[in-house]
Amino acid sequence: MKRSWKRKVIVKVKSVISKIVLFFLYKGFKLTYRKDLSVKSEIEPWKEGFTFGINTGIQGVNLIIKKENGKLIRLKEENKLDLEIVFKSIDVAFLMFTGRLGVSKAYAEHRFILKGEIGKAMSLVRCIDIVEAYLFPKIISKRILKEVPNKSMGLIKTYGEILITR
Amino acid sequence: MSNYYEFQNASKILSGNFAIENIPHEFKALGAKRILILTDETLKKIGTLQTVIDGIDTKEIEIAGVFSKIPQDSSIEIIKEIVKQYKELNCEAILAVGGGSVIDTAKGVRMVLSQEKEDIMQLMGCEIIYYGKHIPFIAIPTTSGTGSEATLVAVILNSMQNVKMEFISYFLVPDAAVLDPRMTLTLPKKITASTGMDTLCHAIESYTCIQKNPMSDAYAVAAIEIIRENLVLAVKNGKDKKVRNAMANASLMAGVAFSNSMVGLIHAIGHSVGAVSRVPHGDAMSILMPHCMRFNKDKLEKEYAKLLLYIGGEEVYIQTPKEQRANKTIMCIEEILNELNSLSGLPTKLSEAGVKREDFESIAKKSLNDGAMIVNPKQASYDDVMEILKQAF
Repeated sequence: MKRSWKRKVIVKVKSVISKIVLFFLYKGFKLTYRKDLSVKSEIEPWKEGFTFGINTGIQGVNLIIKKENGKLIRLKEENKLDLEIVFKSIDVAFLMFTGRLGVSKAYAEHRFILKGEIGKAMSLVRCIDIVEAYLFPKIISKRILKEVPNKSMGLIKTYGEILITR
Repeated sequence: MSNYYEFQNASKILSGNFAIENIPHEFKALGAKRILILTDETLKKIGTLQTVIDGIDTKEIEIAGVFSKIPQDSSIEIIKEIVKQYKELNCEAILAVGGGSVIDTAKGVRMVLSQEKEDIMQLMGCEIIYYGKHIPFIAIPTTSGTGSEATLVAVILNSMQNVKMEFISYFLVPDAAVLDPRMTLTLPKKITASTGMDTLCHAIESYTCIQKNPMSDAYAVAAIEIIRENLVLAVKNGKDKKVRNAMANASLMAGVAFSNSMVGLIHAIGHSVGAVSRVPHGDAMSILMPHCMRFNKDKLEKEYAKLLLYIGGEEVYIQTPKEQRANKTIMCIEEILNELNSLSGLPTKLSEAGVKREDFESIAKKSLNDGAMIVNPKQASYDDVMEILKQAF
């Protein structure tokens, strides 16, 4: 027996939405690295060439970011990442990408495996928390974050900047 | 209750009188004959290792070798050396006799052997290793504190970068944990107090971190109850086998609890206090516990209030008004700490433990990047950690 067509459709829909959210997550990282002092102070100490990834387990639905020349760039693939979060299923990745599960809680529930140095991952987790606070309305941030950080811009301005900035 | 949790306690537990004498049978059952014993020089010197060898040297197993050069902090280099010896001696199993460092080293050795890797750095991370080749592994803890005999974590020093690396995997847990009261009878008062408080801290943090679940809660509260009844007695009369065995059980149970729900802020700061100011782990836990609990209290009022039943006992719980129970729990811990201080000299302040004010900045920075921080229920900033350090000074 194979998985049902219904399940196939669900996985496809979740993959497509996750792909869109990962695009905004990447843009959110770039934007907050420029505009948010907390994110800037987290990323500044990362070594030049530092790479991290978020992998949903579905081919093509992933995000790889590299710090290069003081900027964050998105890579299509990279063999050796310094840090990688690999979700055990697309369903849980989808929960996180749609603001129903915070990254700390996902870690606590063993929803992903973490490749690389755990100490370095803490800095990444703090960044993801802040980027999520920019990308999600406060009502969602309050639910998934232990503490909603102070932001330098609101939701509409965040998406405006993301969409107009290359 | 969490929408989802995972829990594992895979070790067989052999607890009580003559538990060591049953080890040959366990190795036989695991299909191993040639054993490599890992321990440290102190345990060899004080006769603890001899007690183990006297108990296990039977026809059923062969002691192929003893490696006793394990230092205070297990390191990559030591692991490489032991793996080499294991292979040269054609060993089939590992027996770890020691505290957290020895057991963590054994976990590292087993990890490299079972995953058939040359470099342990390739295995760094959380849950990235799989079952691999089965290397039978039994642990005999010689302190009642770390709970390492039951945990899925190994902390190993990368001496090149001077960083303690965490390895987390369900496949690190030993096949069996042997709790024999003879192993802790010679522990000095201060170490008994310090490691006992470490156990208490494991139980409290596992009961309050965001990964808590009904299974880990059960282990945590049972451990706290045993600690309340036995820790002070163990410090007063270390030769009492019954009390020593109880504390060994509490340590293992708290280990199972935190292995599945992890530890939080107290450990995050405590690890850094240890790394920066060289304060023994248990001492750091004892000192920081009440202060970190006060910091977390607004998020954990309900959980701390419930813990009063276990840390204070029935009478104290009933007599304390509901709204004062969380505070009373913290006060009970302070009372235990003060009693241990007068009995054994266990420090109650960071200043007494050798921490200097100028260490604070470095400790606070390090704490934020500790893996334990992520599961603490309350976000702690650099300033928060600095404030806790000032209060604990």
